Parts: sequence; C-alpha cells; structure tokens
Amino acid sequence: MNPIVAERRDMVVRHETALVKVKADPAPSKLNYRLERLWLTRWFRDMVRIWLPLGALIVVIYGGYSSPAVSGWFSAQYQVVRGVVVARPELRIERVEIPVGSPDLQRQILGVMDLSLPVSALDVDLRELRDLVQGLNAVKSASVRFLADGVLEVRIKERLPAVVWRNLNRLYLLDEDGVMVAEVPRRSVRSDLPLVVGEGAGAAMLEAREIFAVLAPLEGRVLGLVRMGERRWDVVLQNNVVKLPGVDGADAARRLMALQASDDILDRDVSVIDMRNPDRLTLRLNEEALRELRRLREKIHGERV
Amino acid sequence: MNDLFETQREMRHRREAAIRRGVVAVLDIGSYKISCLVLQFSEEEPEAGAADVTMPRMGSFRVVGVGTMRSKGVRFGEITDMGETERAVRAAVIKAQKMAELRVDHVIVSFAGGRPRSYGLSGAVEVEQGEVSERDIGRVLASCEVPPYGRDREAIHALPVNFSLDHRTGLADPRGQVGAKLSVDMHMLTLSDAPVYDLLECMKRCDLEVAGLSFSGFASGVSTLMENEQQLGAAIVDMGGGSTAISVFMRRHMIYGDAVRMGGEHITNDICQGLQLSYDDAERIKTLHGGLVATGSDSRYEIEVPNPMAQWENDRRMVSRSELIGVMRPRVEEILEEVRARLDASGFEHLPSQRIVLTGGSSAIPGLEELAGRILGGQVRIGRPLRVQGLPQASAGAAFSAAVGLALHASHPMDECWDFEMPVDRVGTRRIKAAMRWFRQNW
Repeated sequence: MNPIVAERRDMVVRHETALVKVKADPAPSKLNYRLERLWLTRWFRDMVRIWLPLGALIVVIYGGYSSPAVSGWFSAQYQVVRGVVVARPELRIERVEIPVGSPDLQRQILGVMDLSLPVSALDVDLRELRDLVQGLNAVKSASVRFLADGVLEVRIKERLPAVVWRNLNRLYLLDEDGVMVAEVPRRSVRSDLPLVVGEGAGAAMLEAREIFAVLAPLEGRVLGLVRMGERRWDVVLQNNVVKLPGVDGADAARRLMALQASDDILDRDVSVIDMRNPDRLTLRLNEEALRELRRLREKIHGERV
Repeated sequence: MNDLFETQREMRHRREAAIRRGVVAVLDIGSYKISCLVLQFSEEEPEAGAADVTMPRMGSFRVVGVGTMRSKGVRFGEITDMGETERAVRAAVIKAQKMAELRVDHVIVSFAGGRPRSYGLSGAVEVEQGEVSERDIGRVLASCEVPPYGRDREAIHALPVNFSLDHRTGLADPRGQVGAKLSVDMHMLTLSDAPVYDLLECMKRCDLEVAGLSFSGFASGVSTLMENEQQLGAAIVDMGGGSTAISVFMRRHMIYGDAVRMGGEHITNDICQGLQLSYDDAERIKTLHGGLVATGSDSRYEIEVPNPMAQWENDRRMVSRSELIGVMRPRVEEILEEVRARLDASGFEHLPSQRIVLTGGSSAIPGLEELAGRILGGQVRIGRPLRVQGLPQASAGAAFSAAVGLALHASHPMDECWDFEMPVDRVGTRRIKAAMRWFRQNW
C-alpha cells in the first residue's frame, strides 16, 4: 500500500546562518525553572510557608526556655523593665481607705492586708487582698479597688453579731446566718444579745431567730435556747423549760405563746412543758405542785392516786 | 499492528491519568511561537449566567494559565536547536504555571513537523457470536494490516474512521449490532521519528511528562471546524510560521493529514530579501501593512522602513504597499498551490462538502480569503478556534487554534476504541517489548 502523498518538492529556505553568536531569548535557567516548579508544588509550599517557620519557632522557644543563660537574661530584662514601670508615681499607692467598719475591724483589716505603704499598684494582687479581707470572720464580703491619687479602697460589708453562742465553755458571737464573728470572754460583754447553747446551734440559726422573735413578748424571762442533739430546740425560761419539736419549732413556740396568753402556763408551777408530740402537750409539775395536786384530788374524789 | 495498538493505548492511559489528576498542560510547539495552556478539569458545570455568551460545553475544563514564547529553535515545526527550544518551552511553561499558580507535570504536545503521511488501513473479521462485542472490535482493530511505513517513522494517530457490518457501512459504533462480517477502515498518520524523539527529549529536559502527542493540523481541526463541517467533510489549513498543516475531516474523524513545509516565516524571508530589510523589520511591516490584493490606493500608501544606511537624519526610505504585496503574494500563492496539490492527492474533491477553513497565525493576512478562494476553490473561510472557558482574549485568535484544539481533544478524546482488549493470542512478549521501549524513550 502506498502512502497518500502528493509529489513533494524539497523546499530550500535561505535563512542566513549567523556566524556571530546571537543573543538567546530570555528564559528561566534550568535551576530557576526547577525551583519555580518546586515552589508551585503544594506540599512543598505548605512546608516552607507554614511548617518550617512553625518548627523553627518552637525550637527557638524551647531552646530559650531550656537554656539558663537565655532565660536568665530574659528574666533580668523583664525585671529591669518592670522596675521602671513599678517606679512610676502614677502607680504608687499611698493610703488605704476603709469607708465603713468599726475602728477595731479597720485595724484588723489593715493588719491582715499587711501592706508596707507606699507600694506600687503592680505589686498588689487585688484578688488576693480581697480574699484575705474576706477571710476575716467579721467581714461578710469585701471589694478592693484602686482609686485615683494613690488610694486603695477596701469596701466591706460587716457581719453584725446576732446571738451569743456558748459551746464547750467558750462564748462566741454569731451573726444572723450562724457564722462566727468573734469570741467574747464573758457573757456580760454582750448581754444585749440572746444566748444559744449547744453543738450545731449555728446551723439552725434561722429557726432560732424566728423562735426568739415569737418569744419576744416574754422579754427578760427567756434565758436562752439550747440545741438538743443538733435536732431541736429547748427554750430555757426563768422558771421552766419548754421542749420544742424538731420540726416547726417556731409554730410550737407560737402555740406556747397562745397558751401563755390564755392560761398563763409559764407562770404556773410547771418545770417542763414538753411540746415534742404535737398532738399532746405534756407537763412536768414541780414536787410541790404535784403533791398539792394529789392532795386536792384525794380531797375531791376521795381516792388515792 | 500490535505495536501500534500498544502505543496508542499507552498514550491514552497516560492522558487519562493526567486528566484524573485534574491539571494538564497543552503545548503547541510552533516555528514562530510556543504556547502553553494550563487546563484545570473539574466536575462542576460552568455557571449558568452570561446567557449572551455562547460558550460551547466542550468538557468541563477551564484554562487557568497561558504562556506564550517566541521560538527560535524550531524550523518547519521541527526542533533544530534543542537548547533554544528547551529554553522557550521553559519560559512558556513557567509563565503559564505562574498564572495558574499550579504545577503541571503532564503535557500534551502538538507540532506540525515531521513530514506527516497518511495511510488508509482496513481490516475484517468474522463476528464470533451473533452480535458485535467489544472483543470483536479489538480483534478487527488488531486485524488491520499495517503497511510498511518505514523504520524511521512513528505512527502518532490511528483511529477507526468507519465500521462496516456485512453490507452496512458508515457505522460509528457497531457494538451490539447483529452481523457476520465486521470490517473497519482506519486512518493512520505517521511522522519521521527523529523530530518526534527530539520533541520527547526536549520535554524530558523540561521535566515534563508527555501525556499525548498530536499533529497540529488535527488539533486545529478539532477547535476550528464547525460541527457540520466536521461531519460532512472539510479541510483545515493551519498556516503557521514555519509550516502549513493540512488535515481533512469527515464524519468527525481526521481522514487525511499532511503538511507543507512553508509558512509565514518564508513570507517574511522574502520581504527581507526583496525589500532589503532586517528580519525583524520585515516581520513588523508584514504584520502591520501586509496584504495580498493590491488596489490602486496601495501604490500611494507609502510605508516608511528603517534605513540603516542613512547618511543624514532625514534620509528616509519609503516602500509602497503595492511593492510589499508584490513580494508577499507569490509566496502565499505558492503555499496555497502546494496545499491544493496535497488536497487533490487526498481525494478531497470526492467529499460531500468541500469547505476549506484557513487558520493559524498567517491566516490573518488581509486578502487571504479571496486569494485562497481563487486557488483552492469556492468555499473558503478564515476560522478562529472555539471559545473555551478562561482563555484570555489575546490568546483566542487564529494563531492559537492548535493549542485550543489540543485542549478540546484532551477533554473529549475520540480514541475510546483503544480501550478494547487486545485479543489474547496476540498479547505476549510484544507488550514487554513495548514497555521496555517506553522506558528507553522516557528515562
């Protein structure tokens, strides 16, 4: 089979052959070309642009940390800069202001904060100071802040003593939440406050306060409340003791007040009024009264009891 | 036939592998310029807007990078100066890569050199079982008798153009049809192997892997010919710088390919000699003032040309445009007459339609259409490549039709027939030999 071709004439083209070396066209060199192609490769570009710098950074940081000379130099530099800043008068604290609180408490707060004035604001940790102040028994909450002109303000909410608590032969002041405020040497120091006695009395402070409020009309006759078995209250009066139930102690106290109003029950010769069983009030009479009761019954009914 | 089968399959597989990776470059090695397009393939459809733009949906690729470089080391479409060509390819590829911001490893190359020759092959087999299976197609392709095209030539295109089943002909895909005797007509294009190996060597030096090799006349035809022209028969004449590639299309297949070893550079050379100008000046006045049909006003149209022999500053040299046309026209006529001779030899006049489409950089000469009509026959038009996504306007002209055609061919290849299995009795040591040869060529 023959190729399909026309008759060919060989063309002779007369290009001038250059004897002088002609300047080549501009083109990237082979190295340049390969580098360019390498650079356009996705993984290579990612490596150079992201992973290598990241790796170098990690190595430098790690090296700096691990070498004592470098980290020492850095911390020295840091101290120098910090020293300059700390010395600025704008940051100096010259006074501590405590707008509320008794002089005694103020003295206590200053002692706890233990600042050697003047001090730079940078050296003061406000959070720590606040926690220190709040750690005081007599302080309910505190906020500490810098004011202008070198003033450190400590704003507190005091705990006010509500009752005196005697426990294990020691006397404490409790606030209305049952948190201890201070210790007192004698009862007579705060004879204006009611007395509670017994283990766990602070935990039931809410009920105790309510009972005190209910019994307020009795004025001086209430000597105090005794917490029995960390469960219920006894009311100790001048002549008698009222045993309140573990639940609804305040209601029982109200009933007691009603009995007092109707029958003057507390003025009678009764040593113990037991209200623990809500269905039945039990009275324990004094020796004298019991004897008299028996005598009267014998006389009326002609029988011996 | 086995070697041919293997090489075609090999080429196809490499191209598919490249396209599966999503990025492929097409490289048109011309005598005047080397242009590189970087294509990015994606599944997504082009956006639905821009209704006034008629964008053919030819594959879902997008041109993301374009690089063009003057080529000094190529003559007649063949590499004559390896170093210079390598540098130009590097420059073009790097430019396209920079624009695309992608690295390309696979490249599909087209060139017009190598003295292409066309062969018509035919083969016939009995169908094994009632209807035609893929195996039958493999067998019939393998049964084609390959002419002795010479030891120093390589087949680069081999496509079945037509299948016949018994007495029915004109089948594009006979699979599943019932018949007894299946025959095939194939078209094969061979090139001298030296230019092909030079080209492969050049690509290897540029660290590029060749995923396909095409004749530029074929690529231009794919991008320039209209649907009906490809179907009914048309000739594409790609007038490049150093050579003019011709191919004839019929039923969407190339049925003939050839090249005339003359092109725009020869016209410039004539101007050089005829008007005694330097090559660059000749190129300049050719592109700015060139023409082929002289009119009365052209003799009054004076072109000032540089005068290296000037004695004083106003010593000017003028050339009239009719003189320029007088120099250019004979050469263009010569080229077209040569094209005419090739087309006559190909049997072009027997096709149902005889549309001739001129494209390539030299088709921009004013008056070419008229002159070509006179020499080649009636239906001549100047063709520009199809518009593809992402191609800049500056690279959408007739000079880029081969590159665009390669891109279209890469996305819509027409050589699926090489997927068919080779008959078992013919596979053997040949395959190993083909693999060895591939290694030798590419490593």
